[in-house]
Amino acid sequence: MPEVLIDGKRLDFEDTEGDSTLGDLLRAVESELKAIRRFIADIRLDGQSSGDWRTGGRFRSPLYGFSEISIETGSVDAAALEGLDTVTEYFKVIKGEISACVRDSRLGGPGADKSFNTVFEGLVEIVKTIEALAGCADAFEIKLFSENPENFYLPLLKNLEALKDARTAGDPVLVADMLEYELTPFLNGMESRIFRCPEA
Amino acid sequence: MGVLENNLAAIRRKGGTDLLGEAGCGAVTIEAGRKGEPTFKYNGKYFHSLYEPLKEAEAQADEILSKKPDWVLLFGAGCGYLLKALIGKGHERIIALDVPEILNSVLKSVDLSEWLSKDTVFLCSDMNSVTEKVRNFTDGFDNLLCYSTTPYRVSFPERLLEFTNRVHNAHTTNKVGIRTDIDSRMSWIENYFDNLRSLPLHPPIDSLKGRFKDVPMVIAGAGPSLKKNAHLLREFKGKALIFAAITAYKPLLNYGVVPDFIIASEKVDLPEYFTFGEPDRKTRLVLAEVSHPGMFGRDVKGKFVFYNPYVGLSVAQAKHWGSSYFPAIGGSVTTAALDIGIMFGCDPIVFVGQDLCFGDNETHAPGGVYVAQNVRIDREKGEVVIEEDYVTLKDKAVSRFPLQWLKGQSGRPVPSKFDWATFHQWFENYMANLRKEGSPVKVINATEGGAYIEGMEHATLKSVLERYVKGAFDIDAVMEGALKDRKRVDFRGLLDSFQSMRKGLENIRKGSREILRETARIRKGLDKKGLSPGLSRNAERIKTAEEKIFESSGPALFIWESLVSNTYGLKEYLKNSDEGISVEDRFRKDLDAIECSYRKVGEMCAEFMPRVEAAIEFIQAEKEKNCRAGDPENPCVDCKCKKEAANA
Repeated sequence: MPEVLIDGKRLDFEDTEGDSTLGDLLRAVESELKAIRRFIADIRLDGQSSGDWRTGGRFRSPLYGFSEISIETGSVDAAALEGLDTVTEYFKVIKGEISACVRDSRLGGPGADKSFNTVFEGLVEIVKTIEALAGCADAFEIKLFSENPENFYLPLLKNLEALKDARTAGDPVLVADMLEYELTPFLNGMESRIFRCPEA
Repeated sequence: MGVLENNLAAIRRKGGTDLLGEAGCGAVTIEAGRKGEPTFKYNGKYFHSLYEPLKEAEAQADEILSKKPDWVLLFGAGCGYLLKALIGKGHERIIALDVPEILNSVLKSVDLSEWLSKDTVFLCSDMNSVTEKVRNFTDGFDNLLCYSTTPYRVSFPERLLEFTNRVHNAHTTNKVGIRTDIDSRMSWIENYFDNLRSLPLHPPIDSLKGRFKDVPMVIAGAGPSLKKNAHLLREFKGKALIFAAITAYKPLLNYGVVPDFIIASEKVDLPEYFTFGEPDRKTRLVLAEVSHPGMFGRDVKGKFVFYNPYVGLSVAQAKHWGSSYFPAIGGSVTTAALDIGIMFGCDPIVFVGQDLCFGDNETHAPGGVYVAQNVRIDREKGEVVIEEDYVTLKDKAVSRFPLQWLKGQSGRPVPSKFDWATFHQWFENYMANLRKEGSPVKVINATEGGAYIEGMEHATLKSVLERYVKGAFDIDAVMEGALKDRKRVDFRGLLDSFQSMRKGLENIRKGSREILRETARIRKGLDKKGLSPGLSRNAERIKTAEEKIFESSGPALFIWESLVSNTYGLKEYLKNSDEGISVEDRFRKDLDAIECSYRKVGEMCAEFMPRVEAAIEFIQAEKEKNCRAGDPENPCVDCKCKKEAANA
């Protein structure tokens, strides 16, 4: 039987049948943690960090194969706040890239293409992160967003498609106009509406 | 007045002409942006922001002005936002070009008159006008910045390239002009004085004015392609007037062609260009008054003189030599030959050997002074290296030049260098003016290769000669008539001119000394008390002395030409005034510059005074000689001859 530690404290765990898997253990722990709004942040198997514990064969590995399983937990609320910070930071960076792209498109600077790609990829990342946060918020019943982010996905997609068309047409003025006068106000609105503090 | 009339009136007020060119079916439609400001699409692309076009232009203007240009050369003015932004930020030196597809629509729909009425804001519709504006309004010291917004760059890459090349070439020409001034002005003045003894002997070129009415003239340059068609000229000798640049003389002889005229204006002697044999005695020289005196000593059938419009001495005295014609000259003798051909009444005027670019490993046609050549063109470095054996040199001469590009006859760019690009530009400008004046004279470029010259017809020499050469003409009879009708030299006028020149030189010398005394006083005061208000009185006295100098220079104005390198030095000094230097140090530097300048002025006056004295003596003697010869127009001072004649 392996020794199981949670945040450094030993957990009494019995594998009576001797056929429990790592997945069984983690599911049980997760279920316990959920009640106290925590989650598994990392696990170390025999002293080795295991990034892929949720996937693949590890999850199905029998417990008897390990001598020590160390579980690190994290606070759901703290993680959600950190996620929000990341999204906010993403928005800031993307808006900076939009400004650079607008400037280069209007002045014919050499960085227009690079900035454009960064804006595109960055927005996809923002959506992915918001999606992940939304999933977490649902699971733990946290009210992370003042407005459902999904409301913004379709208009954002339309903006991005129009931008792509303008770029394909080789129209730098239109690209700059769309970035500056359409996408930027849209992102500002999205940011302020989904992250709005509840009114006192 | 409508929008178009407003715009055109603003352009015309500055002497501009109608800008509406052939737009064809590609004219743009002006549409309103989100706030009503005009914009347009060309080839599916917007040229101005739909939202805030002026803000967009202001960012572009900031970008431009951060480079501190003296002039902005704008390819594409569009709806004028960038003009407005630049002017709004205090920059009013702009030369803009737009394509007819856009310009026509904009001028009809957008009122740009407020910006176009500025004295130094120009809007052009063709490349020649751009060249002309760069030549006439900017100088070689100016920092020129070519700019184009992205839509123009993307939509008109070839026209933008031509625009940039044109501006570059025109700017190079301005720089070359400065270099020529610095290198040549002094020699020209010295040559003029040295040639005084020759000028009475040879008629001015305008003695032949109108004497070759409708005779075809072939002007031969020494470009590499001369070898392709020079042989054709042999059978047309006596039927077309053959006018050769001095460099083309020997190459033409190789093909059995003795030109009727050879034109030369070099400030140095070029004996190597002559045969010193029979061919020389069959041709006539057309020489600039400032050519090297040695050129006036060549043994040829006859000599004619042309006077330069940019030499102060000639401008003051040409009329006394019997000339009222100053040819338009673009830096080469073939440019002068074109204007002379028009003055002669020739039609058509046909160029051969006017490549204005490098041939296959050669700069000139074979048979001249260049025995062997090796031309290496480095496109990446933008440089050309020429190695050549020159007839009079023992070793190979190596020279390198920045590469310039001209539009070739095939439509593709051809490699050139600064001097040829300068001549090319001049030809195109000359042709544009000729057409503007409505001249019916046909000018044909029959150079079989090389640069395309806008405004000239391009054809093969064979076809041109077959088309236009009719019968023979008697050139000797024309010459005889011209010599017989030659205007008398006005020695009285020349004498007066040189005498007032002497007086002018004395006044300038006196004034310069006065200024030097004043600067010495200022320096003393400065060392004693530093910068003080009292010094302004000394500065005022310098200003007064300067004004007096200019007022009393009279015909001695040529002295400023002899000081041209100094003048350019001063100009550069003023332009590069050091920032961050203390007021007193700046004052001291200014004082140094003033002292240095007027010391040189004084030295130059002293140098030329004996030359003017000698000129007076010579003219006086010539006048008396003519008086004795019975010329009533040139009586001697006390007119002893007349009295003697009366007594007799």
